Amino acid sequence: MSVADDLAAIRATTTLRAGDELACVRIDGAGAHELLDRVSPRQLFVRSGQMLHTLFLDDAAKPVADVYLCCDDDAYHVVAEGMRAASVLAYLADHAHGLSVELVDLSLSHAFLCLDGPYAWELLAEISSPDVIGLPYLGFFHDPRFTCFRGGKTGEYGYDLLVAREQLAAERARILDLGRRFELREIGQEAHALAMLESAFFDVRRAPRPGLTPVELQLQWRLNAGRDYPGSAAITARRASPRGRTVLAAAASELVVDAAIELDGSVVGTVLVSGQSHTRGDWLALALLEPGLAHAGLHGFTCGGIALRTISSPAINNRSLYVDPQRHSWATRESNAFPPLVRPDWS
Amino acid sequence: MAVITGIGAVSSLGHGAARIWSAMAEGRDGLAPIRRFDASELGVEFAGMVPDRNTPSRATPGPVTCAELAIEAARQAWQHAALDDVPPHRIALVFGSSLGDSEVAIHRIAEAVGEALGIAGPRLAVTTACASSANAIGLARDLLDLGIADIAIAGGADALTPLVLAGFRALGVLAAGKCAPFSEPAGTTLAEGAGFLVLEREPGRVPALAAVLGYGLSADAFHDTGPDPSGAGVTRALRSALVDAHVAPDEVDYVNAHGTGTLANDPAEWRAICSVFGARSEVLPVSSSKSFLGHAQGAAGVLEIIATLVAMEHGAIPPTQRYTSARLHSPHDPVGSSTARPARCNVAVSNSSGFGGANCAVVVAREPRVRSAQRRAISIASTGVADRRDTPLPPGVDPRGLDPATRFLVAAAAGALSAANVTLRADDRDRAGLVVGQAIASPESDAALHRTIARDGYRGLSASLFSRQVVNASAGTCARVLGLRGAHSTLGAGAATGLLALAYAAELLATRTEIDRVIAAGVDELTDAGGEAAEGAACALLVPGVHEIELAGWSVAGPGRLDLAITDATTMARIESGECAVDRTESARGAGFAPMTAVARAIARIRAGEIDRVVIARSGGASCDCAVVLCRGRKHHAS
Amino acid sequence: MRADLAETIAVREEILGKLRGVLIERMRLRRAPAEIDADAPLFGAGFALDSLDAVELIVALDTLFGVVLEDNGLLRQQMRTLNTVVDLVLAYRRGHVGRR
Repeated sequence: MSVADDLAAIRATTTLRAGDELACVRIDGAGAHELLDRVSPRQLFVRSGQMLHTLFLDDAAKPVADVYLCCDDDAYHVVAEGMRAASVLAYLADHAHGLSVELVDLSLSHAFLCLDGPYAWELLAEISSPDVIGLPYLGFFHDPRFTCFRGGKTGEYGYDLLVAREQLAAERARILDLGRRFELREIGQEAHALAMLESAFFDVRRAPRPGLTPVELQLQWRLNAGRDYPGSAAITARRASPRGRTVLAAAASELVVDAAIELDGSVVGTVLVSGQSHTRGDWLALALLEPGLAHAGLHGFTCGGIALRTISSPAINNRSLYVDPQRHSWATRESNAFPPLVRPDWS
Repeated sequence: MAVITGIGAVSSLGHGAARIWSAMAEGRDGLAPIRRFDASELGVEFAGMVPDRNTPSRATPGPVTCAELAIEAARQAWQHAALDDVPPHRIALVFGSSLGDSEVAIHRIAEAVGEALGIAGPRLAVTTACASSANAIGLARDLLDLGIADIAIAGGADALTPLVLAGFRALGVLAAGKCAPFSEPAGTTLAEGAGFLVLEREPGRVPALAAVLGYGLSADAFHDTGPDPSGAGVTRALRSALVDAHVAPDEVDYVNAHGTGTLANDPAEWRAICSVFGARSEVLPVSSSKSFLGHAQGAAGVLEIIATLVAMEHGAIPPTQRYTSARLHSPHDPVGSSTARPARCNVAVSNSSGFGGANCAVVVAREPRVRSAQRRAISIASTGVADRRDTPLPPGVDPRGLDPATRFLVAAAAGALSAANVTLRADDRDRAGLVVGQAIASPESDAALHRTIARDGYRGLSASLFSRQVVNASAGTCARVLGLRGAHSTLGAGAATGLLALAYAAELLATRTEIDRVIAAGVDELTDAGGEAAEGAACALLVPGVHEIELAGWSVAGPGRLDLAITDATTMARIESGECAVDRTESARGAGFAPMTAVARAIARIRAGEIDRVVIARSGGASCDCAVVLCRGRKHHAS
Repeated sequence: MRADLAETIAVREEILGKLRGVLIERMRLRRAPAEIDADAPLFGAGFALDSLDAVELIVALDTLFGVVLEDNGLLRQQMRTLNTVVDLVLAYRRGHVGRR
C-alpha cells in the first residue's frame, strides 16, 4: 500500500479518497450572483449545472482558496480547497453588504468522497446512472444520494461527491462494493498531491508564497481583466512587472522545497513544490524563476547540485485523454492500445 | 395519422424509390468516388452522389442544386399519388433542408417546388439541419389534422457541394473509406438526394402504401455539433413520437436509426434506444440506411423513411451494410448484411438528429390507426424582445462566439422567461420547447466563414463557423444556453415566418402533454441595418390553459389567401371575424422579427384594455399566408 | 546569459507569440496576449476550448508553421498547453516527428 501504488492506481484504474480538504458553502437568496460577482476574479459566465473554476485572493492578490463556483438555479455552491468553511463564510460575508443572501455551511452536514481515474466515469455510471456519461467537465448534478461535481485535479476523470454525513459510511461501502469490479482502490492525500504536481494543477496548499500572485503562478486564466475583486489592484500593478514566473522542472533526484535554483553560478529562482513522479521515474518541481528565464525546454539549471531542466506542463500524457466512454470500457481495457503515460522528450 | 399515397426519391442509388429497394435486394450501395468536383485536396474519396450527376460539373448538365433534386422527387411523388385532379389549394408542401442552395433562403426553394408542381396551399420550410425532412413529415401531418390541407407533400432535399464536404471534414466526422455504422471504421459518408411522401388525411382516394402514425421532437441542448452522449435528447424524441402515435414500445418491429457511423452519434443513439425499448432492445432490429444511401443531410430523414417503407412493402427490413465487427455500445441486432432481411414489419420508427441538437423520430406503419387527440387551450404568458446588437445577455451567459441572430434570440427568450417569473429547473427543461421562425442563418457568421475560406481555402475553413451555416444554429445555441430540451424546430415561410413559428408552437403545445411550455420566436439578422426592415428577435412564452392572453386560433393558407387564413383562425377561436380588430399586412416586410413584434404590441394593447381581441395576419409572399387570433382570456372556453 | 539559452528562448517566444495570435483571432479568445500563460490548459480547463477550436488550431499549425502530421494522435498529446504545442513545432522542424 505505497504512495507509488496509489499514484499508479490514479493513473490507470479508479481511486476513492476522502475529500477532507474541500469545504462547501451554499449561497441562497436574490443577491447570490451579485455576491460572487464581487469576489470572483473571473467573469461569472456560468449556467445552472455548470462550475466556474477560479480563486479567492487576499488583498495582495495571493491565492487563499482554489474554488469552484457552481450555479444551481437560483443558488450557488462554493466548493473550496485551501480555506476551511468558516473562513469561506467570513470571506463571503465581508463582501455581502446590502445584499439579500443566506450563507449555509454544508461542511457541517456533508462530506466529500472523491473518485479519480481513467475509468472513474464508468464506476460513477453504476453508482448513479448511465446519464452521467453526458456530464461535461465542470458540470454537476444532483443524484438522490449525493451531489456530483465533475472536477478533478489529477488530470484524470474526477468526480467529487457531496454526501450527507449520516449516509457517508453507507455510501462509501456501496461505492467500494460496486467498485470491486473496477479494482477500486482507496488512497490518501499524498498520492493525490503528487498527481496534481504531475498534471501541473495549481496546489493552493503548497504553491502560494507571500508576494506571489496569479500573474507569477500562471493562473491568469482564472481571472478576467477589467474586473473589481479583492486583490485586483495588486494584479494590475503586478502585470506590468511580475516578480518571476512559475514553470515545471524535472530532475533525476529529490529536490528540496524552498531550495535555490542556480544558473551559471547565480541564483535565478526557488523551488515552490516538489515531489517524486513515480509515473515518469524522475522528480518534479514547480519552480519560480526570473521572468526572462521562465521557459519550458531549457537545460543548465542546478538545485542543490542536482541538474535541473524545465519542461512543458503537464508532465504526464494522461490516460483519460484517450479513454472515451463512447468506445472504451474497463472490461475491454486489455484490447485497447493507449499511448504511453509520458510524452517523448524531444529536447 | 396520415396515410401515405405517393413516394418520390432521388438518391445515390438513382432516380425513384424502386432503385432504393433494388439496391437493398441486391446488396449494392450508392457510395462512389467523387467525380463531380476535385475532392482530393480534402482527402475525401467517397460520397453518395446522384449517380448520373457524378461527372465534372463543368460538363452538362452542370452542378446539382437542391432545388432541382427537390422538384424531381416531388414530381415523382405527385405522379405516384395521381394528384392532377385534386384542387391545388387543398394541397400543402412542407420542405426540409439543411443547407439548401447558396444565396437562396430555403423557404424560396419550398416556393419554387410549390410553383413547379402547381401546389396552391401553404409551402413551408423546416430547417433543422439533418432532422429537417423528418420534421417536415410530422408538420405535414399536423397541417392535415388541422384541416388546413387535405393532402400534404412532405420531405426534403440537399445537394452535396465542396463546401459541405469541407465542413464535415473539418469537423472530423468523415470516414476514411465507406462508412460502417455501428462497426469499424468510424465516421460517416456524406451524400445528397431528395425525397417526398404524399400524405392524406382521409384514406380511400387512391390505395394507401402505409401510414405515418406520429412523430416526436426534442433538443439535446448539449453542444452545437456533438450530440448528448447519454442519448437523453433522442430518448425524449422517441418517447414523444410513440405517445403521439399511440404506439407502445413493444409494438415496434424495427428501428431505422440515424446511424451516421460517427463515434459521437452511434453510441448515444443506442443508449436512447435501450432507454426507450428496455429489455426488447436485446432483440429489436436496428439498422442504418446511411450504410447504403450515405448521409443525405436534410434529406436523410425522408429517404430513410422511404427505404423503410419500400422494404416493408416487400416484407423486409433494411440492412446495415459493411457491418463486420461490433463497436462497443451498438445494437445487438444491427441487421448486419448487404441485403434486406425478410422480416415481418408492421410498425417502424425512424430517427434523425441534426447539428444544433434537433432530434426527430417518426413512427410509420403498414396499417393506419385512428387516434383521437386531446387538445388544450393555449395562452401567452409573456413576451420578450431584443433588437440591439449590444443587448445584454442573461447573467452567466458568455457572449463569446454568439452571432447577432443568436444573441437576439437568447436575450429575447430569456426576457420572456423572466417576464413570466419562470426559472427552469431540472425536469422542467425536458418539458420546455422552442420553435424559431428564421429565414436564413446569420449573415455575419456566413461572411466570417467565407473569409476563412478566402484566406485558407477549403482545407482551412473554420469548422465552428461551418456549424453556424444551418439555419437552426441560433435555435440550438439558445436551447443549450437556456436549457430548452423539449419539442424543438426552426421554420421559414417568407414574411410570415414569425407567425408560422407561433402557430406551430401553439399546435405542438395544444396536442402534446409532455411539454409544459413553448417559446415561439421570430428572428432576423440583417446584412446592413437600416432601411425599412428591422432586425432582432421577439418571443412569446406559450403555456397551456386559458389565462390573461389567450392564443385562441391559428391557421396557415396558400399564398394569396390571407382572407382564408383569417377566416380559419377566427373559426378556430370561435369568433366572428367581424368581431375582431385586424392587423394585416400583405407586403413582404421582415420575416421572423416583425410579425412577432406585432404580436407583442397586440398583447400590450389587450392588456391596456384598448382591444379585446385581434387577428394578426401576414402574407408570406409565395410561401403562405398566416393568421393568429389573440384575445383576452375567456372564462368559459370549451376546448 | 548563455547564447544557446537565449536563442532557445527567442525561438520559443516567437512561436508562442504567433500561437497567442491564433487564440485571439481564430478562436476569439477575449484576452490580451500577456494574459495568455504558456502553461495554461487549452482544453477542458484553462481556456476551455472545444473540439471545434481544436480543428482551428490544427489548421493554424498547418498554415502558420507548415506542420502537417503523419500521426494525428500526436495532436491530442501535444495540444495540452501552448508550451506543448511549441514543443511539437520544434520537434517537427528538427525532424523528430513524422511528416505526411
